[in-house]
Amino acid sequence: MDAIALRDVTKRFGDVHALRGIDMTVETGEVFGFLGPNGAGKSTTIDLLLHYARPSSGSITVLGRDVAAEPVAVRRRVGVLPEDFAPFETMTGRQHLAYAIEAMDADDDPSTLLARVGLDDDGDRVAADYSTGMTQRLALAMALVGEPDLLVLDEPSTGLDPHGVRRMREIVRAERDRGATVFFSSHILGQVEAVADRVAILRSGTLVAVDTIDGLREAVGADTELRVELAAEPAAIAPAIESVDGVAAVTVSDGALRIDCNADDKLRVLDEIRAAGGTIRDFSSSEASLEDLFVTYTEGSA
Amino acid sequence: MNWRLIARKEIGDAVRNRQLPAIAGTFALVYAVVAVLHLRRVERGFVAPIDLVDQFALPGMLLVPVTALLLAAGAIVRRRSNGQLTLLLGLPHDRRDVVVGTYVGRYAVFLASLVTGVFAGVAVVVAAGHTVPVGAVLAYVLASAGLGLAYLAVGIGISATVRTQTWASFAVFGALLCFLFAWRFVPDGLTYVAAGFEEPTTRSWWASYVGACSPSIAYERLLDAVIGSGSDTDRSLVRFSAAVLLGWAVLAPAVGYRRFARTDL
Repeated sequence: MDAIALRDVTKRFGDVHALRGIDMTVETGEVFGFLGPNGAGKSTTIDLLLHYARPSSGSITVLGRDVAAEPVAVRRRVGVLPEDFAPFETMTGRQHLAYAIEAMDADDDPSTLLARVGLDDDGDRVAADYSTGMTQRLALAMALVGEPDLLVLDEPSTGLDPHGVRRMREIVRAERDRGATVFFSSHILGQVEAVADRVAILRSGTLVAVDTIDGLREAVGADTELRVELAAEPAAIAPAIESVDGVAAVTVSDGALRIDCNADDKLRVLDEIRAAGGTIRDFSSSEASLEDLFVTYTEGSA
Repeated sequence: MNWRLIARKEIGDAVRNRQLPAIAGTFALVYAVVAVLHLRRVERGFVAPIDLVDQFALPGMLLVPVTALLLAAGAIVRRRSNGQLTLLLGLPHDRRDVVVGTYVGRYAVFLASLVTGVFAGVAVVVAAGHTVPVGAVLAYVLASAGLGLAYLAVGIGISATVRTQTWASFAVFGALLCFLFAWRFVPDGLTYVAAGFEEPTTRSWWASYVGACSPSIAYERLLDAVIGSGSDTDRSLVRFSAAVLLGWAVLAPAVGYRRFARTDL
């Protein structure tokens, strides 16, 4: 059974097409990163998943249930960290958790949850006085109540300091290891790259890619830049290297060869340079970052 | 059945943000003052001690609707626009739980305030050594509880329907003006129309029923029966008035819920 399945889901707001036919499946037990620039439709998709909003067309099942037909049954097994929420104004952090525990019919200990998100010392303060990051941690703790089968986290690192971001990442991994599926959205690539098993990239309401990080790299093509310093003039060697399998482009700059190639072909390219008579003084390689991929997907013609 | 949790949270909120003590205190003060004024008139021989409920009519007609509407007006729309509802609906709650739970919770706050107020008024009378018309006071509390329920229901219905607090404020103010004042002209207006746009010679039998469709006017008919001023109080009109209050109590939130359930958060 898939944790999440969207079938040809569209969403219109008046004349604006926020989502233009999304087909997407999140498998049970994976960490799924939902990526896209601001305004691409990530939050809209999550709103539909949680039945905060209804799709204009298409069907959505979460944990095998139709969210429109059984929203409460779905929410009973899903932990939600929403975006643009506010804490209950009169309640302390601990009271929030007590409420969530009762609503989820769970038996968690509020103190354990507070400690897990790093709010141990602030549990008895009124949550309305929390900072953004603390509010975010509190909502994460609420999402963890009752060991949900699926965690839906909308921009989970909003307002978190680097410490908090790392803790969030650790919690996501721990939840996956427990067997939970984690679906989270982000416009910050590093976070997706660090924890996601698979990612989807959304652009203007359309899915432009669904793949593993490595798969995406391959899909975009040349993903490594090799910089090779030669003893002799590099321009003489360049034409011979261009024809090597796996090489996308060769340029000469600062007296060195710059070769865009597949990561697996790096060593073979070096061998070819030597075979062509080049003497290698030094070399370095850099992998294309997801950032570059992201830009390629969301702005380029991919 | 998770609405109970929301209702309890609403009551807890009212206690923690001191809304409940503030409203209950206001009710107690108003009813105590009314009771004191009543006692002074009793001492001068203007009224009998037994006419206490006559004096309670005015706070019932004004304080009850205003409080009920104010309690309900922002109840849902405010949580919706500030994001608390987003957090709440991330938990296993239905939209219906939100409407029902808010309605029940806020009504409990209203009812506690009303009972506290009437109790304070009665206490003043008892302390002065006068008798209290227990039956009439209980009937008064029942009727006022019904009126509060109807107005709270209207406020909840509005709060579930509109998207901003500004609209909610305008709408409840409009509802109050309509039910409290404007509706009083509707029966005569309709009679005039029914008579072919001429001054009718007799008042149609249904005019009173049309009038009683307003919760405020229905409440006055109920008080008439409690006070027993009009000995010819039409029993069926009294029953109809009670039904009107219950009708508003059910219909207004139901309509609001239908709108609320169908829109995006």
